[in-house]
Amino acid sequence: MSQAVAVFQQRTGSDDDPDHTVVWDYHGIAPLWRRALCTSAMCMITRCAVLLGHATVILIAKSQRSSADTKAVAMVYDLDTRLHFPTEATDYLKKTFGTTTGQAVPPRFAPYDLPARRLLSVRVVHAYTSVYCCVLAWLCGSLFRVVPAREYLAHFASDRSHMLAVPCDDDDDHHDPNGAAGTGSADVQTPAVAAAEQKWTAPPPKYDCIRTKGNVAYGLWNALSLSNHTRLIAVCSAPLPLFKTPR
Amino acid sequence: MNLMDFVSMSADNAALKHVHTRVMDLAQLIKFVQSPSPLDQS
Repeated sequence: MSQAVAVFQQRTGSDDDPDHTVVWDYHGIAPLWRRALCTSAMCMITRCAVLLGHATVILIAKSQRSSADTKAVAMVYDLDTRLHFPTEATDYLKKTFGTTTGQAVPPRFAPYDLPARRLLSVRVVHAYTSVYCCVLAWLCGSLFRVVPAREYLAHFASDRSHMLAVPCDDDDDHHDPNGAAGTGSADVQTPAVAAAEQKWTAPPPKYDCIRTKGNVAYGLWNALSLSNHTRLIAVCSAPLPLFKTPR
Repeated sequence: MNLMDFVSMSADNAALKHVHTRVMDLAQLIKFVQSPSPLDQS
């Protein structure tokens, strides 16, 4: 299994690629089940994107879904998508992660989009694409782990060590742009594992690292294994204040 | 628990043993977002 997964219709995807494919290790979005957009929802979206850094984690946040909202259409807010902002969740999932068959293949490989349709019968095309999709799904299909909001918020932590550049002896560029690693600055919080000489691949957020209630911070990639083959889905029903970092 | 623990598909990931999660493929996920989730019930 590979940790890399394909995400389609992304702004950062090449214009030469009709699917605008980007391969991420993870990706971040914010879904909303409410019928009307409200201030708290927008705050939540912003918070999610900022919280997780560069919108690279899929964060499905069920924002205070109530029984009255059970028939509401879920809308997905993806800051990096080329689709509408927002896009209805089902449409978003199909166009971003796969096809109507539920398999992780580019939308342009959907049965009725094949140029061969003009030459072959629909049945043959379906058979061809079914086999093709199965192979692709087997090779690069993604799995999604759905996590209850309460447990996600209770257990998730990050020390941002995944944002640290791989050490290189003769590369003196890209020092911590804040220059405050290990200083305990009030405005710039550094990961617990970061030392003064460590370098960032991108400027780190200025807010605290996310820690659990037990004030535990882990390296983001510490538990990385080759068995990873999924994007993170965190189903959050908790209110926005729970996103705040415990102090 | 860090992000990669959540993302991990490893069945023997000790960090996930105390967390209720469900692994889905895309088709299952689409059905999930279209209906109330048992995971979302409090």
